[in-house]
Amino acid sequence: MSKKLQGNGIWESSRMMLPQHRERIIENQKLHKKKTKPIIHEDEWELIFQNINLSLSEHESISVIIFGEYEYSEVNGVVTSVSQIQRKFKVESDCGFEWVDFNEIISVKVQ
Amino acid sequence: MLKKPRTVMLIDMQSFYASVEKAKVPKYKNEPLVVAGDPSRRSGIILAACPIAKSFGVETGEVLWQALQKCPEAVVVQPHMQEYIEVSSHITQIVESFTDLVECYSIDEMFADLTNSMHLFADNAVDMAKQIQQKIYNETGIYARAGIGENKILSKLCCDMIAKKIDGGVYYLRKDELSNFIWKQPIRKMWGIGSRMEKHLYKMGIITIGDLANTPLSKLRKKWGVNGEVIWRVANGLDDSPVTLTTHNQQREIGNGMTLPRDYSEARDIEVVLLDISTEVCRRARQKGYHGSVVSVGISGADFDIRTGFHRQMKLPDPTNITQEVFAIAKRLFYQNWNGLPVRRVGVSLSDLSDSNTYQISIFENSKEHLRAVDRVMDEIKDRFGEISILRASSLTSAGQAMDRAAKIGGHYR
Repeated sequence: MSKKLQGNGIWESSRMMLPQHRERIIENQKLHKKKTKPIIHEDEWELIFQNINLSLSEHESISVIIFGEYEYSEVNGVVTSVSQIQRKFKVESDCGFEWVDFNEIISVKVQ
Repeated sequence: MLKKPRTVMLIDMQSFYASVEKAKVPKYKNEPLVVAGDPSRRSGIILAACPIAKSFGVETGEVLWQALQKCPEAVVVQPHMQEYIEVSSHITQIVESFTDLVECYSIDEMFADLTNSMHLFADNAVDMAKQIQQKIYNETGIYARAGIGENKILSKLCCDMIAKKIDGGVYYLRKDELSNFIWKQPIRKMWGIGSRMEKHLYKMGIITIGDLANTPLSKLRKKWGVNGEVIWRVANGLDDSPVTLTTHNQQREIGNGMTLPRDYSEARDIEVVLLDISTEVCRRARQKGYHGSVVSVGISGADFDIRTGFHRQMKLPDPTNITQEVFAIAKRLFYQNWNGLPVRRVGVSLSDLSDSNTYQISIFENSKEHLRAVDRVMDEIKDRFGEISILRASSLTSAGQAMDRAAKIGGHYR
């Protein structure tokens, strides 16, 4: 059967949309997905520090969830150094290393 | 299990462009106002006329001077397309405060599915529509009309044929009322029926929408195939399409078309336009990370009464978004199909899109990387310094349209 008679086909084949308008709509929809940063409980912080410590001293592999406005991202690897002055720590994996800010962490788990 | 009937609403803004302009300048409130394109070019037509101007007989789509003969005191305003898009998306956000299911159908129409959020705001759909209407008016100064029905077709028919015509501008069309309110109307009034279709239907003895609804489907299918079934479904108010949010996300085609400021009859002038449009299409494809393997070209002849022109496409062995490649194909299609008559409208599009991050390197053509580099550099310069900071020399000839297009949306000034 033709696409016109299925799903939303009848409307999609007939509508008039300016490309600039379409882009605006997609941009708007993105706003709905915008997240605010969760407040992390003291107990959770304790767990985070514990796991970072464990990884640093025992070379345990950890997975860090990092806050993003639209999407959280994940970094996996071993913590090789912690900078208390700059408030960040270095996660090394096979594909390189990454500095993670303490402010951006959502959670740290031992793998 | 019996499915709960849906409540779908089509919200339509009254003379949208004109209303936006009026809301912006309150002193025009009681004066006739029209929004018209540049009279020195073909776009010099009435894009929107406010209700006062319409009462003088001004119609959308007529040439500016004709409108001014009917209504000499009309205030003429140039279109501001970017503003209309902003206002439209503001209205979408207002409607989204009532339901999360909102689908834009055009710049001034949107569908909203109220089925599951109505109980939060009102006891019935008409009340809720009035609330939405009031909120839109309060925030933007635009009068919205709403047709409500149990599916999208019914809401559209209801809005076009009832809600727009009555005081208050809100109506709920029950399906069993279809025969009373809609079927007696002439076929031309129905959504999706143009003057040509009307003529064909007259020849079959179909005069009213009711006649169409009661025509056996097989007869219409045989004559027009899918399109026959579409108009039959519309006439009978049958539609199960959902109000979807993702409908705009997926891009199937990237294309641009334009009506030329004058009729072009020289092949090399048309070539220049083809290159300008190909450049634009390819740039958009690159921005979005797509490449396409079907290039299509559409040309319409200058005489609108006797339609000439063509729409042809060609499948490429490898997908591309390289300006020069797309242009070469477009040029080939043009020369193969052009009948030599003057041209009014040109369009180029790229479809069958796929992700451009991976592509096959060709053994035989080693100039591709060079062409990609040219495009990349042009893109970077345009990103930093604006769309007309770098152009091909041909765009600067009298036939070129790149400069003009950069200042416009949908053929009208931003």
